[in-house]
Amino acid sequence: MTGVRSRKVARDLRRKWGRTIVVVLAMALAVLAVTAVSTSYFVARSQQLSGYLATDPPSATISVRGLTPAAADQVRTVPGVAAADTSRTLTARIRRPGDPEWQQLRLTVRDSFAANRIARLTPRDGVWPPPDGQIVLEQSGLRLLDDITAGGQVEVELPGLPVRTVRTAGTASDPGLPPSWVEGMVYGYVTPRTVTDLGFTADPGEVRILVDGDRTDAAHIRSVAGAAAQRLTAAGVSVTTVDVPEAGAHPHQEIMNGMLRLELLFGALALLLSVLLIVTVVSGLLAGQVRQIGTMKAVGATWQQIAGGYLAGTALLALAACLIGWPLGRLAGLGFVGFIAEFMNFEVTGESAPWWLTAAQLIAGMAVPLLVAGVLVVRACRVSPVTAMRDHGVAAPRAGGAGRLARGTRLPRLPLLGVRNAVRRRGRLVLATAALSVGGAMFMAAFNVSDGLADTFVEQTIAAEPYDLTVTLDRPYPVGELERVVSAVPGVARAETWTSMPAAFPGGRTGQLSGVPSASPDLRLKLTAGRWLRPGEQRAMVLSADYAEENPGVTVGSTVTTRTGDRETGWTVVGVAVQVGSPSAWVDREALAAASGTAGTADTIRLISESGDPAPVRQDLEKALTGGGMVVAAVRTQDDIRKILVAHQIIFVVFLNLITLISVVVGGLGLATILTVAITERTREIGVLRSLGATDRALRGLILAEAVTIGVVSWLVAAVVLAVPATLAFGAIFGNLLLNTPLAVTVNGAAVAGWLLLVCGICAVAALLPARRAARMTVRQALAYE
Amino acid sequence: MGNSEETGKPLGGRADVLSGMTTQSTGSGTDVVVDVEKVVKTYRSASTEFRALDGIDLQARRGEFVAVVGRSGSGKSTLMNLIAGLDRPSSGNLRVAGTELDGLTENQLAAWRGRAVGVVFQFFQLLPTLTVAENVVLPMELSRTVAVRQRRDRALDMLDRVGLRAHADKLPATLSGGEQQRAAIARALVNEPPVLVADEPTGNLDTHTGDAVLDLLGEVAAAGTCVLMVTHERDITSWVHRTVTLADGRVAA
Repeated sequence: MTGVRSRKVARDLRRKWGRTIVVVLAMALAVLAVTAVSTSYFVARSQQLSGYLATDPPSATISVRGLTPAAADQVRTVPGVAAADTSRTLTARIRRPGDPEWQQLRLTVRDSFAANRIARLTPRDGVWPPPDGQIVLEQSGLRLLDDITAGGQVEVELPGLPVRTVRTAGTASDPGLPPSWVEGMVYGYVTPRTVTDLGFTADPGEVRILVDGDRTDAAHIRSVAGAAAQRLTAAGVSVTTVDVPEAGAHPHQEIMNGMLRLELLFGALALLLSVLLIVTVVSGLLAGQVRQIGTMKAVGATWQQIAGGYLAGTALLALAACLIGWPLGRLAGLGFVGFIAEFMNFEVTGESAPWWLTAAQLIAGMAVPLLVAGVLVVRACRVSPVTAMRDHGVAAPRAGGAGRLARGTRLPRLPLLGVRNAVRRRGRLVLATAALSVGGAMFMAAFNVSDGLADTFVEQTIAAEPYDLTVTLDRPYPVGELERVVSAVPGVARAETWTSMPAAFPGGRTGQLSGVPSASPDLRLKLTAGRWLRPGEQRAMVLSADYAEENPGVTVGSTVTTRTGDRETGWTVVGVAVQVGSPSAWVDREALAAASGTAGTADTIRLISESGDPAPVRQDLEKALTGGGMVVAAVRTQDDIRKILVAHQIIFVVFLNLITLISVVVGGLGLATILTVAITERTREIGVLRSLGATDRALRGLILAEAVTIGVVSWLVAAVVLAVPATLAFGAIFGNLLLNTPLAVTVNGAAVAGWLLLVCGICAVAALLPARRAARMTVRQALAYE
Repeated sequence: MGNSEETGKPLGGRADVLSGMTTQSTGSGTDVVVDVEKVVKTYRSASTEFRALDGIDLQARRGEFVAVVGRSGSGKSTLMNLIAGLDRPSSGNLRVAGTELDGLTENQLAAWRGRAVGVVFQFFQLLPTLTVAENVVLPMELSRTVAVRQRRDRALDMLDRVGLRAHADKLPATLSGGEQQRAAIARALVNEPPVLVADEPTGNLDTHTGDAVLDLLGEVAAAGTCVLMVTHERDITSWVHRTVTLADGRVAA
């Protein structure tokens, strides 16, 4: 493109600077969406995995009883074992002195903090390793303890022991664990001596091994772990389970992948909206150029020459959009990485992205707007010169509903003319309503899914297990004894005794088996296949949907063999159930106790209080259990569980809020642009109406009617046509990520009404500004408007 | 040459104001630069069909100033659009400036237009964000008929000839209607096309300014360009060589 045409493009853009800015913003939004999503996707994935793998996570964990130091040393000599350590995990309670609320504490006792060879913790603050008599806290749990710092005192209560005050030595981070604030549990690390001083036995319960050679070779790891287990057995140690996690993957890789998939979905939606916005605003910009295109053709311009000029201008705008959108997108992406890192409990140590990613982002940032605008520009430039010269921004109305409406009613003519104006350029109407309808549908769907999430993820989960209080004991106790203690506590409406234990499932994975009263009137898990347990049914199992998904070959009717302690038990799968944070499977409590050699016992009490307030019951029950010689390991109220569930859904709520925000911005910009174009184009028509005596008020009514018609049409399309499938799609995606089942479909009436109000508000503002300008013109000026 | 009224004015008298202009050879070997033969133009909508031109025959020669008159809807502008290659006939043949328009693609038509036809519109159609001189440079740039360095000089020369040299660097909106139309004529002539098509060039001007524009077009014709002008003006016989009257898409007189 040479001189005059380039000057024309530059001056056209400057002359219509308002629209030019909107075009750049629309393009910048596309760049921002692409850059933010790809940056966070790449950085979060690589940082989580590299951060986790750099800690040398255990290749296998062997649960044992009766481990001796000599046996542990034996494991270290097994061929293929690069390192082995022992640890014990205790469930306790922790709080700051004076705080009435206890927090759950998972206390890890290790014999080799100094070596810190396997699943290395990274010291963050204070002293490392934990000195005897002191505790190191995992950093994500600090907020549950009022942001306690190194040197502060905490109270720790180990099961069955008096409360002891312990000094906090420091903090460390453990990227292999979910964050404390999400799980509602503080993680602490102490030496065996500390636990002994607190009055508890520090006998290690597990041996963690790190294999040498290829640590991603599952067969190799299983082989080495099997040999280590055999060595332990030979040394007289009882091996309960051998857990070989997925090699080379973070324990929460699936959740992470799910979140990143959601992010990709969000990015695609943002890109779709920004493309629609680009289409809308570029069309608006070109609408004012149609006659000039005709003129240029009349003086000898080919469509390629004209298109070349506009595309060069578009490239300049895309470049400006890149300059704005790319840094913002990178910032947004890294901000989101920070959020994911907090949610997934990993530390971001590097934010750099490879050159090819940056290049791809910039190329996409230039290519997407150029492609979208290019199609529109070429279309506009290929119009015949006569058609272009005849363009007045208006077209004859087709025979349609609006025309009939106007003719068949006694409503005031001017507002009806506004309605007809809105529909007489159907292409424009479709364009104007497309971005707004998609934005509206996303807005409504986001609210609907948010409600559905709260309903399905939180309320239905609680409704499925509506127990006010769950008390976990340090070990199984006779059921009769438990029932006797509970029956003496006032305010208990109904109580059940459960038992749970880790079990080795087929494939080398360890899962939790939950023994429940199969005749429970309160336990109402949602089944996705098969049926629930029948009272007293032996050897029947209901699998969790998670387990069923991970093991596609296991269905209703299959037999699953589990190993608890030294015993193997075969179970027939009778159903598949959905539950958040569920165990791997549910079986009849008595059947489980019998299978594990502890018939007639249970280790958990779950109860429903008469008043719905578990606080007094909790105190009395704890006292009664302790008085009966039983040791309480953990207590959780329904409110605690609700908090944990809410914390788990936060990231999804943030996603939905982002979708809502972008819907409003994009929909609003698109509508404002299209209305401004539509009304500016009709300046001459406004001049005609004024010459016929139309007052400012009448003109405002006309323009407002047009604007509101567009708004209402888009709202109707959004609410009636698009919002339902969008809600179902989002609900299915979110639900399957969280629960392996679609979310409950809910309709948020406030969002539906709110979007209508929002759209009408945008319409009023966007329409009245150009209308005011047109109204200020004299009739002569308006009639002569080009 | 079709039915028309001859006014008896001599052809090809080169006027001073446009001296130095040379028209391109049509390559036809004759002086006929516009040859319209049995041209029909039909507009169709979903329910109706309208025949705007119904078998028009018209010829015009180099240096001839032809006025096309008729009532509104008679097909005048449609005929001008077809001759300028802005639209295509439904049937019939058009040979303008030595080129058969029938087989040309849109791009070939555009390139041909840039060299062979100058177009002047009722509402001037100057590009509002280009200065007057830049508007005149544009056809040279599009057709690459003049070397880049010479384009501005040539544009200024052309503006000088239409009396607008002093306004060369102004934006069109700052000019009066007559000045804008003269600038449009300068733009139409800058590539020295053998044919100039003017659609109601005085329709938006007062009588005095309109007369000045007609004078200018007369000079253009006198310099050897074939000028075809659609007009509503009744008293144009003193400017044009011939008047063609259209009625209901046919040549009436």
